[in-house]
Amino acid sequence: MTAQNDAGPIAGSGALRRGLEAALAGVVLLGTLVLVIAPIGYVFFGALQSQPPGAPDSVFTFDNILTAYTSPSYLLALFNTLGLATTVAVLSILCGGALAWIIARTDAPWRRPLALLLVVPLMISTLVTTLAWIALAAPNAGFINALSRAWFGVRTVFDIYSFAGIVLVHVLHYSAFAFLSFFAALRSIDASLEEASAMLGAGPLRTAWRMTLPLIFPSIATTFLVIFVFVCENFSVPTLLGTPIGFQTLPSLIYFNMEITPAHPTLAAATGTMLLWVALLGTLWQRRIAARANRYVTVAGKGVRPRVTPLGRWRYVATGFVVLFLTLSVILPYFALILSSLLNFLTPRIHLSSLTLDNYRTFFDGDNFTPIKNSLLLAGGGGLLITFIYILLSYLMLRARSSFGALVDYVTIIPTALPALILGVGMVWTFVGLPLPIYGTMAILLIAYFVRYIGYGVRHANNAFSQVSTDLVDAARITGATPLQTLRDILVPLVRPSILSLWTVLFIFIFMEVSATILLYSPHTRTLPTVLWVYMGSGSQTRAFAIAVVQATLIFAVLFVADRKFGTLKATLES
Amino acid sequence: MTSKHLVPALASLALTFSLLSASHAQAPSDPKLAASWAFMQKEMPGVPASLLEAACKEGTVMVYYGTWASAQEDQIKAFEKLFPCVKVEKFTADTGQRRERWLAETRAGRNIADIVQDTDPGFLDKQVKDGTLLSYKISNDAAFADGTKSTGYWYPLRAALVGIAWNTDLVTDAEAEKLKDWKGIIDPIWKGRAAVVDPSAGGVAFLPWYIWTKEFGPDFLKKIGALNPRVIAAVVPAGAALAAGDISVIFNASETGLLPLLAKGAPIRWSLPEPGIGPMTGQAIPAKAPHPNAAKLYQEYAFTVDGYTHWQKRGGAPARIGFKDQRAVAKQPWYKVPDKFFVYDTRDASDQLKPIIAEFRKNIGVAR
Repeated sequence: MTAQNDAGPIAGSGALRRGLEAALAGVVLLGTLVLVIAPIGYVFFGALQSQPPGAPDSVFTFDNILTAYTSPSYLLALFNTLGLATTVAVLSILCGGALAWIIARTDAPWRRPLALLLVVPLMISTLVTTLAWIALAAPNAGFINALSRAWFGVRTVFDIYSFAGIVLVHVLHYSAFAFLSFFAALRSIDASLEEASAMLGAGPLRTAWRMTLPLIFPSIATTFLVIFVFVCENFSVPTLLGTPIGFQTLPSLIYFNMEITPAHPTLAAATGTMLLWVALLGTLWQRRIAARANRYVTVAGKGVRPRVTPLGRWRYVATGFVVLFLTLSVILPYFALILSSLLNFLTPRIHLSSLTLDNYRTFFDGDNFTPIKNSLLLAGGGGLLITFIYILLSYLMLRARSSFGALVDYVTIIPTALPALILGVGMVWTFVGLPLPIYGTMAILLIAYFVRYIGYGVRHANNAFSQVSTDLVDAARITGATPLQTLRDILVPLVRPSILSLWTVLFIFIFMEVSATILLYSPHTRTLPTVLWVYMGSGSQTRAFAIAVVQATLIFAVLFVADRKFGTLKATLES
Repeated sequence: MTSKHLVPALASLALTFSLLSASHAQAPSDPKLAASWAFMQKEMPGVPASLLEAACKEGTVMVYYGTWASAQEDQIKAFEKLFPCVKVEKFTADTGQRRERWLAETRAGRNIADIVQDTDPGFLDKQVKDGTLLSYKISNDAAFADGTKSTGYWYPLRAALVGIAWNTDLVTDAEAEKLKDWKGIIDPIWKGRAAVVDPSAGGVAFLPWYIWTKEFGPDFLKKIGALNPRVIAAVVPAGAALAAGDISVIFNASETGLLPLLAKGAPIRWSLPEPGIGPMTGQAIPAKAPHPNAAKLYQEYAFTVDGYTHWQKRGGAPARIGFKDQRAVAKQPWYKVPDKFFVYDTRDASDQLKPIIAEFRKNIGVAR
């Protein structure tokens, strides 16, 4: 029996209480559906119009859908998008899985301090990481290629303008994400299970294949799906690195459709819908795996002792692998970022005299206190609020025995799969006409973030709940606790690390979000990434790099303080 | 009308006119506005004090501007110093995003922007036709030639010039000589050294492709394709790649992307061959601007010599008649603005978008 089947029958005794909780559940679920479906609905509506919604000369048409779904260039872009997303998701899972196994289950030296550093790649956006890698590995002027030419006479060690370059930038980012998911899952497996397998004669590989892998399979499925949709909707990496080699993805086409004159926002909307079907199929697959969740229950009210595999001499090789990953994902791009932020313009010809603090001076002299304050407020406070709503939502979905819970599950993946540029346009189309005083306020940004990350957030919470034995829920309910009391007194404390971990990731995501924010902000709700975006767009790339350094420093500082106070990073690793 | 009635009628008309004139010249009642009014009398001839008073009463003006933040901020600071009673609020984003947001707000009747700017004259002309822009003729209207403005609707902040740019560390002076002519870009010496900005990026990235096709025929694109240029997604990363020395030449470089790099000492130069390519970046007042008087005052100021100077210093080539280019680059001996510009029909350029991008895809690289 699965968690959702168990939680339901043991309902609270009072009919009134049950009724009130059902009403609350209904409000939360319906509210979520409205917030998510409205912008998506507008995107679909826009895709079927000749002009954006509200335009006086707009007529109903299938032209955009036909162009997007039948043109060879769009189908090729779809194929490229799916190929890239699959490659990145598989490699990120392999790489993140290996990192998690080394840190969680082996005796490799220095694994503890290295584990905390593995969160750092997530602290700079893929756009900034891409620009940092262009500075490092542009074929003629990248720092790495310039050095290799000067020292070894090798013209180009690595050309970032390649499919391999696109994959590399993505994998370095999302391996850290996969690491976070798998580390916790691997830590939570009771050693006695694997020891039993070993006693029955299974070797380490057979144990890993037959025992460990199935236990963490829900984590793998969810992580694969989330990385897959994140890569599908990413436009900065494939657009900047893929254009020179003729590699176009759907988000690149959407970007060009928005920038061209006359712009084609309705064609962009139709293009955006193409990814939704893939995300829904992925969700169907992931739900089938989650349906067997009771196989993966590992938190059963008693402590677990993870098994540590002694690696012998190989333990240094394992640490070497982690260090290599950190070199590529943290040290090199941050080095490029910090060095570039001290230059007036990007160049491999650097002298001591060319280093300057001007970019930082300009930033701190400007009116940038408001964006910093807004970013901290939205990511910190807003992130916390959104975290609790995701937790509540996940709990309600798990309890819902009807197909309503399943519907919410499918619906929540859509906005995460929709390219953020189009989601932002859908949000503008939806909220600009509503007679509510939220347009241009922090509230609309919070709604945008809530909608944008719901696919990830709810799945993260679902994973946490799926690891909690229904025995604990049963025990609470038998003693007369209502579902909400059970959530508050039993489940939340049990999954506290997961909550802290979810907040940590959301804090980073929200702090860096720009694609939807740029369409929805007002002068009073400017955020740090919007300032960075403006500098980038006006050709002041190294000034934008300085902001990226400030941004990463702020994220790190907040997470450091939060870790000291609440153990958030520790929780992120162990949730 | 008989002469008996005509005389008093004319007399009353003259009286009304003189009263109106007197009220126009009348200083605002608030002595704090004296400095603002003095400036207006000097640089905005004929603009009534009542506009200043009404603008001050509104107190705010919201400007939607593009990725020329430094130029805009210079102008805004100067405006706020001259007109301290009006606070300027700002929204900035890329052209596509800014435009879509403003249009969505307009369609929904949620009017927020008081001043809008756009890099595409065709788009602004369409807005004039659609009735989304306010009809307001600025006092400096005559300072802008026909063809660079839409009288009473939008006025040009700059000509966004497009040229051929090169890295001076990688291209010799002798080689650079070839780049003074558009046809010089198809010289085989650029094979494997050059880059082009994808025309799908629109605006100034697209126009050269349109003009090359018009001026030199469709084969010109094939000849460019034979040089195997690197295709870059947008004008800004193209400028950065040129300054870094990752590419030697950009065939369709936007001057506005190059200026900040040159100012910071990047080893770059560019030529602006004839016929020149320089679409206007225009500024207008939305028809339902929530602060119409403050918007008119800002629009007036932006096109005075003072306002134009503050914007133009870091914004782009001037489009005002007889205005001396204030930019540092204008003092460079190698810099020359073309005498003749390519005159084109914005509608035709829009119509040619798809076929040209298809040709580009066939001959040079992937595009939309």
